[in-house]
Amino acid sequence: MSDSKKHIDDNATAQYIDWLRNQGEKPDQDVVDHVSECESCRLEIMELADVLDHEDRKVNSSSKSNTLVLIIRAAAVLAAVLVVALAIQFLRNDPNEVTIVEDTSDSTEIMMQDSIEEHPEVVEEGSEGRVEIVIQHDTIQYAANFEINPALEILYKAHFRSTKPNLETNYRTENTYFQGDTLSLDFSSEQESKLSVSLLSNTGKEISQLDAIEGKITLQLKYAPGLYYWKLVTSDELLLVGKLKIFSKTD
Amino acid sequence: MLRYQEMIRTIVRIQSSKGLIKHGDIDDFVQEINKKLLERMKRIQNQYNHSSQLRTYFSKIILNICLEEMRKGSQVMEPQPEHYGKSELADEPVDNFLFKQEYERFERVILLLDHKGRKILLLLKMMYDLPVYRKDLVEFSYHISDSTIDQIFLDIKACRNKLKKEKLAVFSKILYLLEGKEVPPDSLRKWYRTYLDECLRLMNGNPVRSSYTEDSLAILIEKMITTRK
Repeated sequence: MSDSKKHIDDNATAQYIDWLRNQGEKPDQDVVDHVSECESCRLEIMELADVLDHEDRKVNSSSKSNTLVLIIRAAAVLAAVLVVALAIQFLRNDPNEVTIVEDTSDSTEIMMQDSIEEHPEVVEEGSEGRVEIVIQHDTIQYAANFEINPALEILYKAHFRSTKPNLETNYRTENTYFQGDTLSLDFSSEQESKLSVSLLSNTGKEISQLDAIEGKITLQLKYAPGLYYWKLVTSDELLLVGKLKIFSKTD
Repeated sequence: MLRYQEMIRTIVRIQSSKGLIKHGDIDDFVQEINKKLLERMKRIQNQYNHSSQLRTYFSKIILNICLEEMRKGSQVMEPQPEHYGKSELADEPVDNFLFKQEYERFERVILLLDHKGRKILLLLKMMYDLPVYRKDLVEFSYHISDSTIDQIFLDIKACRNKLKKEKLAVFSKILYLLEGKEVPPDSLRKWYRTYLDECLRLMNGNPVRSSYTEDSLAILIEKMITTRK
């Protein structure tokens, strides 16, 4: 704009609008002077400033609502993650959590390994404070522990060439014992060689082996319920085979 | 171009609400403006001198094309309400924010009228016994002395609760101190009426968006002074 009688040009109008809206520098004084005198320019400037204000408000309003939607969505996702995390944490730390471990091994082996006395149900505290209840004898396993071992049964009934030692035991009726009882075998034998007793599970596996001291052997029966065999041997000869059953005190 | 579609539509709607475009022709106008913008894009780019935001410059170009198209049709219709589509203040919180927004509009009007605007504001404050500040006087003349300012404050204080006629006489005296020229109170009254009407016209907009009067304008100023305190 150079002639004050002419209206200001498009660039000057735009610059004036920006200045009016605090978004630009002040236009030249002759532009300001013209506008202060020109009613139509003032009206046009005000009208366009209003249009731009309106556009800005719409953008701000939609960006505010978009921000609100984003915040709500983010909060929902965080809440979901938190719930999942808490659930995982709860499952990890639940002090009452019970893990049932199926015991597929021979109960006598477990008892030997752990040397746990008295109770067949092994209660252990896990590494993270969990409690594991190991049920050692389910019905099938329990029954299997009392199955007769045919080979050892034959030996039990056999007559050996060697002279049988005189044996005094504290056997209960029908060779039964309870867990924690003591088995005492008292031998008076002509044998000069060293005597020892091997305790076998009903599967024939040697569980324990003890040497006789002055013809006596005392064995703490800390094993799981089941049928057991014992063999009295010298260094090179089987002298006698016996058997016994161990029951749990709760049975 | 895509980002300016809403702006094009708003400008066309404003013209429609002034009765310059048939409501049913709005879409055709929008389409025609888009076509013209594409045809003239190179020229528009060449003429743009970067002294303003491109968006602002574009709004002026859109208005020019819209007026051009209207002149072709020379149509005069019934004014249509709601030129901005939805009520632009519908979602805004009222009270302080609304007052602030309106006062900013008033400040723009004062800027548009430049020196005359500042004079109107000062006179309006005196007429309604609103507080007058030092900066209101300094903006008239940067060379004004402190003693003159003190004298003016005394004069303003003295005419509180007086009749408008008396206030105009005092303001005439103040103007002499500020501008060094004598203006008879009667001429001053006419001048005040003319430019106050201009202020009200700009505040109310075209098409009319509000209905300010001298009293409501004074209340707006008073409200903003109280809020800023």
